[in-house]
Amino acid sequence: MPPALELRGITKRFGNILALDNVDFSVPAGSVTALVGENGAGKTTLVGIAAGAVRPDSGEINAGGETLALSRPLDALSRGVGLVYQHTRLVDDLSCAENVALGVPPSRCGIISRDKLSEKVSQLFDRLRLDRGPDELLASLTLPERQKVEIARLLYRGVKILLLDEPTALLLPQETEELFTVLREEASRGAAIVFVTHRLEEVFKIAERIVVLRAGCKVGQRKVSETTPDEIAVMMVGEVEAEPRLKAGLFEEEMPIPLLENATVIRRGERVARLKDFTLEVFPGAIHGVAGVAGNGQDEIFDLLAGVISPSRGRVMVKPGEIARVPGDRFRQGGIPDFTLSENVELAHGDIRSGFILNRAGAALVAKKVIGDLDVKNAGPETLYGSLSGGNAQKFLVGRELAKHGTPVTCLFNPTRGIDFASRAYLHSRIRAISGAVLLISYDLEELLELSDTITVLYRGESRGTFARGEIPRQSLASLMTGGGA
Amino acid sequence: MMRGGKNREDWKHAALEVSIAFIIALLVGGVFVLAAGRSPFAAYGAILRGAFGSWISFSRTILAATPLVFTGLAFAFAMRGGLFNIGIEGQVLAGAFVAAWVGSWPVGSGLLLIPLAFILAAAAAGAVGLVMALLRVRFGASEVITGIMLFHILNILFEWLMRVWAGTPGAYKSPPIAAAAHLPGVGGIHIGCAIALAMVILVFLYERYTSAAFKVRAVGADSNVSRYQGINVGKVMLFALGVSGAMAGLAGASRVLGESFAYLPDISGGAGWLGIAVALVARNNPLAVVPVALLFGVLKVGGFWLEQELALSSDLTLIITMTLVLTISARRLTPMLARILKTLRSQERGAA
Amino acid sequence: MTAVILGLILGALAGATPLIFAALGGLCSERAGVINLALEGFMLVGAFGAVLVTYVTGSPLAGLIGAVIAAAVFALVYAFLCLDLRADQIVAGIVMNLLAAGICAFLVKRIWNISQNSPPVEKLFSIPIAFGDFRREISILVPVAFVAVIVVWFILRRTVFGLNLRAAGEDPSALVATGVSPRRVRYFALLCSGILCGLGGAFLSIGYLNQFMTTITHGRGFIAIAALIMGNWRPVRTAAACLLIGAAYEAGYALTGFGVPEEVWRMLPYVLTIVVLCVFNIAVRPPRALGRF
Repeated sequence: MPPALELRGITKRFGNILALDNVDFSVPAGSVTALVGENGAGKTTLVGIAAGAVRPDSGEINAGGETLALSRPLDALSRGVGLVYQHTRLVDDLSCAENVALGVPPSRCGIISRDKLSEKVSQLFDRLRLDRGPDELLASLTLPERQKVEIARLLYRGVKILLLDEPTALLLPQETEELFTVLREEASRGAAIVFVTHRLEEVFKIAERIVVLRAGCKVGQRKVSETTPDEIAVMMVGEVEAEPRLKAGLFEEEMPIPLLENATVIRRGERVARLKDFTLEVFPGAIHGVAGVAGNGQDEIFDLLAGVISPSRGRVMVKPGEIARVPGDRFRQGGIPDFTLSENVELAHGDIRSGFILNRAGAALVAKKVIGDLDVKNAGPETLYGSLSGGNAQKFLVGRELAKHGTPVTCLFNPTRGIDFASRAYLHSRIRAISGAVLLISYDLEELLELSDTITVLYRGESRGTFARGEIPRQSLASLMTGGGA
Repeated sequence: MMRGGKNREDWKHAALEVSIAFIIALLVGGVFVLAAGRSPFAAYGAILRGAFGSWISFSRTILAATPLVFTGLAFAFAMRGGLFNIGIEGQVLAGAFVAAWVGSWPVGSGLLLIPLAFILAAAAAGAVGLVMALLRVRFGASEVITGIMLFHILNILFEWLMRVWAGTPGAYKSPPIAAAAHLPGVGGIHIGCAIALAMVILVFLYERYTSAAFKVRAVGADSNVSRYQGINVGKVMLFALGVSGAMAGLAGASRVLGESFAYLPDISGGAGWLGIAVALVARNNPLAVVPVALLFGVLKVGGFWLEQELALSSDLTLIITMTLVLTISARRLTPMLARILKTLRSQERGAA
Repeated sequence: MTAVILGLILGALAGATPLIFAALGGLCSERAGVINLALEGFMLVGAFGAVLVTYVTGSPLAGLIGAVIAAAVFALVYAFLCLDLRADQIVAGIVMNLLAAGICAFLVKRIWNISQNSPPVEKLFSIPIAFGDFRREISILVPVAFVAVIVVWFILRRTVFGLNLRAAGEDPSALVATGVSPRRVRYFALLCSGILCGLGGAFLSIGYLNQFMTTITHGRGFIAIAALIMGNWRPVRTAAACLLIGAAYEAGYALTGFGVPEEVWRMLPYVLTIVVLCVFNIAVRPPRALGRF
């Protein structure tokens, strides 16, 4: 039998980074194929290309015996290839049924046939074991339910080749099981399923075939029955580094710097607190990590420290001026894209813009220093911030905060999210070298394990405990992050 | 958002875009004139004669441009902070009314009375701007809508106060201001014009050299980033709209003290609305406000000759002005025209 | 007493009618993701079109059609500016109002050689209301406005176009992914906006009055936007908000009989609009993709 979906010789560059290097990838119908690899291995790019959302530099895609036009989502959809994104692309203000049928609802003379629509959608929901009515508003659905609506949307359009990009990243173990059941059923109905993940334990539960990517190259392909988790792990990571040790005796010598004391944040119009009785302190010379799945209170911690919001209860123990901050969103919080680097220095350094007359020369001097110091490539003080690549922008932001005086605490929020590998390694080395106290809020558990001396786990706005490095295994941390026990 | 050109290339580009927009605006105006059964050339000739035909008409053009300089600066000032000061028309009225009231005080010396009238007029109009900013900062009410509503409210309020003050129900103007409050001038051009030019230079220097202007610009470019970087966005908005309102108030004061010598309900003559147009065409650049205001002054004064020579409404110039603004705000127009020109040229080549 | 109350109710209905049309016009546009501050201009052009066509043909019904066409064409110009030429939607909206004022004033002068007001024309069909001694007439467009609320609600909720329109206003990229062009949807949404505002304009000039005045809309387009916000961009709630503002205005008018200065009630709708904006801005949620592409 020919493969349901076949990609040949796919190469893709983003700037000077080779994301995919001549990758071949094929998927047979009626089975589940796992696409595994570490962060940045090129998994998301590969499924994006298959779904027509990303345009490859070279290569060919065949689905159902026909060659697909590159970079045309609709073309891919009409040939039966559909992608479930990590963050679902649904419209909150529409009902479930409307979301499923958007663009092609059953209708007569432009009026939607609601009975027919409800019937079709109910059938799909039953099939996917989604216990929701077609008329319920999407906004009321939980994340795993949304994923099923998204799958229903693709099935409604006749998709036979289902690509899922890290569908379990934000799911609880129970929810993951449910999703697997549904996917297995679809595969037994003849669908070809591609499942992207970096969690090996899942792969062996669901997949029949495993394709491993590393740094943009296809390292190999195995049948689950013929391999072991250890073999796949070695294929994914290459050689394994020894973990650095905790600085001994640190906490007896230094006085902690309190940041938050029993801080609770309830956003306007909401009843559930985003952050609950949260206390946070850091030690000079140490890196304190905050781990958690996105949206569990990290934004609120940062906003409190930045002085953008104030706590509903409890206290913030530092003034915004005493804490150097690198926000989570480079271009919407960190700097103004239309401004030059020099102007963005001026923006963040209150002491430079405090006088009546603008201190342009002072700002340019700091900008020049930051550019040289952090190795921001192809930039000068007059370069527009928005023209920097993600990695360079992030370096600039970190450098700008390091150049501040009188800030005993540096707070970094996802400092290396979505940037190239070299910049990430470089920034990590710089973060390690910061002499004051560092607060590292990150969604990336690998990063936290690599850098932090202590880690607080955040779940639904509450602390699930603070641990020193090596005190707790990685799986337990992951479990705490998703609401499980240690 | 909109930033003044930094180098020569930007300037050239901006000048080209304004020229194209101006040509389109004249063409649209021409279509209306043709539709009205007149010759566009006769109409535009009448406008030019009306604006430059004699010293008197020239001085009128200058006087018409003066409030537009104030209001254009005012709109641009707030716009730098990302705020649409649509309340300028109301702020002009506030400035005019307070100037008329202060001007009627029995203070003998103009040296005292005139600055006092200007300052209080600016303060009153600035307060209107502050109210808009407060509603925006405190309640998130769009300044565009509150601005329009405040204009209607102030318009009715001052008309009412004017009648009460004049003491007759049918009064169409306030009691006249004292002779001491009349602005001095030469050849029909009063000192309000000089104040307007001084304001231009002041705003230019402010934008170039002060930290306050930088903060306003940062908030206008991205209020969210500014908030995260420790700028008090609400305070900056209050400042920008307050100063903007105050400058609009100067326009009203200069009209009352220099030309009408009393408060009239239509004292503004649309200077507030036109100020928006001036700022948009000048791309919020204070130096560019002067020539653009002059251009609009020409259209305004010349417009009256349309009525006299061709029996056409002077509102033609409003059509031209607004078409000009729309074409300038249409960001994709120039690239689109360039593309069309290119296809035409390649077709020509193909034909040859 | 009955007569007074009936008068108040009818007055409130008449006051709300142009607001409802304009607010529904704004709703069509903004639910599709296009900010529309040009409602005032759309209405003005509609009011002028109504009088001009009625004047030429002698038929107010033809005038009504003229109003709708004039406002629709004007709305399409706005759509072209915003959707294809990517003009700033706030700037373009404000300036379209001024352009409308310029065009109408220019044409009034040219056609009737007078400034500001047109000569009187025949009014649109009215429904007589009789209750005891009480006799009044209300324009046919008053009930039409309420029918329009239902129609807009039905289109939004039950038709393919309405579904696409709502998706265009919430998340155009989701729409693109299904193969529908948000640009096309928004063009049609603005066409609807123009038609509705045209009806609102026609009500002012040949339904309520019998002539065109250059100041006939008097900020109603902006009051309608406030009502739209108060109604959280939902048709029925928006219409209720329009009724409330209409009623408050009528009540204010009635108060002038008790020695309250006339100016106070003239200011009332504008003050009320500001209050409404401040109070309701917190509780409502605009379409997510409003003003974005």
